[in-house]
Amino acid sequence: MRARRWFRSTTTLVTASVAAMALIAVVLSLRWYSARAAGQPRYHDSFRLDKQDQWQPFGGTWEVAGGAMRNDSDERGAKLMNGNTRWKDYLVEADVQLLGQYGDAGLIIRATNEEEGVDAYDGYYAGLRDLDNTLILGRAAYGWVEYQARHVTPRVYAQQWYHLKVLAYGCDIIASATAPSGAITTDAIHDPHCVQSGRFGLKSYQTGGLWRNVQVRAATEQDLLDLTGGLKIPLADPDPLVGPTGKPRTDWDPSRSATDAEEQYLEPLYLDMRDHHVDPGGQPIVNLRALPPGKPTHVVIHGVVTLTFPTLFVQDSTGGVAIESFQSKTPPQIGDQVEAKGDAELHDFSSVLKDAEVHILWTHAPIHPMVVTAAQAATGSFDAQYIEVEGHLENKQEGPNHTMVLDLEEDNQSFRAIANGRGAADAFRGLKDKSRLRLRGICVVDPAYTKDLTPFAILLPSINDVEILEGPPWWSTGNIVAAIIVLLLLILAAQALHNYVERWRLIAVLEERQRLAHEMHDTLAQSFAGIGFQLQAIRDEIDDRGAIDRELDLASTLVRRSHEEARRNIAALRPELLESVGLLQALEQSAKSMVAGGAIGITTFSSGEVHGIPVRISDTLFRIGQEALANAVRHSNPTTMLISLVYREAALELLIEDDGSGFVLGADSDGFGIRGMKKRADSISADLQIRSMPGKGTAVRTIVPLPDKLMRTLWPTSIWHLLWERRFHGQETNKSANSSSYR
Amino acid sequence: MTALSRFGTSRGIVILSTLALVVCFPACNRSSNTVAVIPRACGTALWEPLHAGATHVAHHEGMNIYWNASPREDDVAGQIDFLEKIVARGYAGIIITPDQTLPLRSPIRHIIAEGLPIVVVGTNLGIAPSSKLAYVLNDDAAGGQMAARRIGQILNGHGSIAILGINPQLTGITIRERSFEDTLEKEYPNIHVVARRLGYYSVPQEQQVAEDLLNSGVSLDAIVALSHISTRGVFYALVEFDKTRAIKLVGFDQDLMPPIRTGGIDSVIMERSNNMGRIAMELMDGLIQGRQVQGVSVVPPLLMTRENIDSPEVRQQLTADWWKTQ
Repeated sequence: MRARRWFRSTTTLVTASVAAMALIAVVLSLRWYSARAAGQPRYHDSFRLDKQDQWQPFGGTWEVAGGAMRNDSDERGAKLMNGNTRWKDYLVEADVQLLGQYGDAGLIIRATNEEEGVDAYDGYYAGLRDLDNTLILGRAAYGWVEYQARHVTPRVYAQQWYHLKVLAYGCDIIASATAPSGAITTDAIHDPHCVQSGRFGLKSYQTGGLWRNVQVRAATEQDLLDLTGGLKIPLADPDPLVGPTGKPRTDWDPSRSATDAEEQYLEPLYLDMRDHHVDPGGQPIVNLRALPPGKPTHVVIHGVVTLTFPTLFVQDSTGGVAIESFQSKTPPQIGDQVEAKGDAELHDFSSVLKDAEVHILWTHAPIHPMVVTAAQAATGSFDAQYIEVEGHLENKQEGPNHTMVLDLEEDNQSFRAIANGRGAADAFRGLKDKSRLRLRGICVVDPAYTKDLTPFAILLPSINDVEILEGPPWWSTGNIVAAIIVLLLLILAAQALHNYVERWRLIAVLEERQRLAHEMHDTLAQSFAGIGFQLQAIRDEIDDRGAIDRELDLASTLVRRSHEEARRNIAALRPELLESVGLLQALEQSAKSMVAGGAIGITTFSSGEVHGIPVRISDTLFRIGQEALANAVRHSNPTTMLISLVYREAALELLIEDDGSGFVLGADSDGFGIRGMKKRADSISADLQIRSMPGKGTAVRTIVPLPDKLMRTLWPTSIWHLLWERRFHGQETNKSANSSSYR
Repeated sequence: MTALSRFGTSRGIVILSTLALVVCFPACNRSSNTVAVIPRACGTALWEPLHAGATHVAHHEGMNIYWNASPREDDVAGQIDFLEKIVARGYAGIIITPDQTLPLRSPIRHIIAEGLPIVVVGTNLGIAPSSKLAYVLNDDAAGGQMAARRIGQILNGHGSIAILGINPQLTGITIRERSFEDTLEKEYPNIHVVARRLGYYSVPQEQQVAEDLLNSGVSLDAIVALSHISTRGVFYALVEFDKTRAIKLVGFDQDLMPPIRTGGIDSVIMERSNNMGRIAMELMDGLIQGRQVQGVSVVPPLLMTRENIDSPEVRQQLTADWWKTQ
């Protein structure tokens, strides 16, 4: 007992140890694999191939355009990350351009734990800031520590390319910016508690930016020397005061005049301010419709951008206008309030601005769509305006240049919705025809979009501007066909089930009859035989044969008749005969047994191709035939009886005919068992015809349809029947062979 | 089961549990001693000192700070979404400076109902302080008085002024405006408010409002801008119209410091956001510990002028050295 316990405890320990070692091995393997997978820092992206999936965005509106990665968002701290968190000593470099004023754009190095947010990552960042014309270098750790902000010569201009390098080697972090003039500005710090490894990324703050030729490679000490020129790298010593707006510059000279000081400090602010200056000569967009035709008129308008692609649309509270060709220092975005100066041309329903100069006044002033019906939109009153309209989807198709075109119908008006972009096809593929949709977009009546097929079209700003209100109705053609098929299958299944139950019921009845016949054969018939034998013995032993003899003869006669009756009943109940020899032979044998010892002739006839008869039909025909034969023997005194069985393509005809006395068919003729025969015939949908005339004999004809008739209309059921028949035929044959032992 | 076998089984379980703990440690790391601080905006002169103030107290109390915000200051829906995300992370408590008063009321009520301590900075939401809620407010009434007295001083008690940046969506701004006008009326009856303009969350829009005002022909001696956004917008307009000398600008909330040095902005009523961060974290510590804390703490503002911009008192409120442990 003790040994077993020791063994059990030892086994537990060994199991635990093995499991622990396996666990450790798995963890170490995973670590080794991930370290190996990290590999050496190496990456190059010229943004010509579609590598966008490798980048992970945190805020911003990042897209590849013109061989550069672009972020048009002016939100604080938009990031786009790439690389491996296990990269340690490496150099990341790229050409960087600021798209707007009063912000910065640059590169992140050794970053981990990124989230959406301003400084929501752990790592280093170096960027060009145009507010104070500096190259900044600092560390983010869910907060910003600015280590250095060195003046860039001559200054940081928006819309110009600068080449930026950021190096992390050990705990030295170096950043250098090369201006278009070739002037190089370098920041360098030594961070004793540095971040050891991390990914690289692109980042902009409060302005859009462009990045191109992004390269990453492993760094060496030589790279460090090349960037620093061998100068001593200072310890990271951040300024505790908030910056840049609040930090006094070190070159501030209080002795200079106020005007000089303003120029010195506020130049970037002036630039920012001038960006927002508004021309007071703007006019409502609706007035553009009242311009003289045929001659372009120079106009100034103010409005909110409602669409940027394929055409720029701007709208104010009075209407909308398309701007077909324009220049802008910063690409306008949906929701930007802009000022546009250009030549307006009058079109049929609205004007179009050409050769315009678009200037963004401020951002994030989105307008809401006007809710209109398709009928209202079809009037052209809402041309170039941002609307919301509902319609039923009739069709969808892919158009040129990755567009997706939806054909819709509402209020007896057809219209189209056009979405641009690679994602549109995927997004709209799941839309089902006849669905009710709500769409938001720019209403246009230009034939370039409507193809002169519809009164108007909707240009969708994004795939999110389509909302499914209702799916397609259930009574579509496809659904109705499917419902009919399902219904038919259910009916067939019900019919098959009914047939199956009926068949089993009949089999049960037949089996019960057979059991009764065996019982009667083994008990009643044997008893009658015994009684007769005993009566004969009594008569043989009695001397006085007078009256007793007569009574015994009478008793013997009664017993014999009862015995014969019992045998007939047994024969009638037992279906083995039918099963073993077939319907015609069974009837012939039955007739012969009825007329045994008499002078009645039995004739049989069969024609047509003999095929399998369902057991229910053959059994019923056998009973009808037996009844007809018995009636002929009992009541007609025939000299011959004909048993005819004719197999036709879809029916079976049984004829029992005699040349006896016949009878007059009438109301009282049912007493001859005709009622029973009719009932049996009805049970198998058979037609029972009785023809008889006094002195001319009687003919009983039974015509029963066979399953082949059903096959033409209900072929699945027929197949089902056929299979069942074959199956039962085999079973019944086997049963017949086995039942011989009961006789 | 004998003691030996029981020991063996227990040891196996302990080994496996320890290993499991080691393996899943990074994923299982809970944030129970970390407080999330959600300002209106990160990286600004107004709110970074709050980060520093809260962090220093948190370190002293053995706690950590998670500092992050929605990237847009005017995106109240974004702030609510961000707040919900933060709640799901299981921080010990939340310090928040709401973008607007009314939209944040329901989300914060829900957070309180879940039992999470919360300190609201800068705006009274109207929800009564409780064992799970405390406020740290800038004394906006005092700020309004301060601005009125500064205007009275620089205009020598006579002149016409305009008020820009009125924003009913932030109760603090409304309090500033009413307090300013009450004080002005009582103490400087010869200074008249000749124009009032609503404020926006965008500097360019504020600039346009100010330019429209300057274009309207109204004669002004001074402008009071009730937020840092409107202060910047008005300053840009004054520079554009070359009226930085002719029209004095008294602003609210620290943002642009260089124009204060040069005189383009006369003065700014600054919030002591570093102090507010400290107080907020002290209150949070009390709420977490279940101590009774002051429901509403009011922090007086500070007048920043060209003369005192480098004073220790002002510099302390511009200090954002959150990375320092002390």
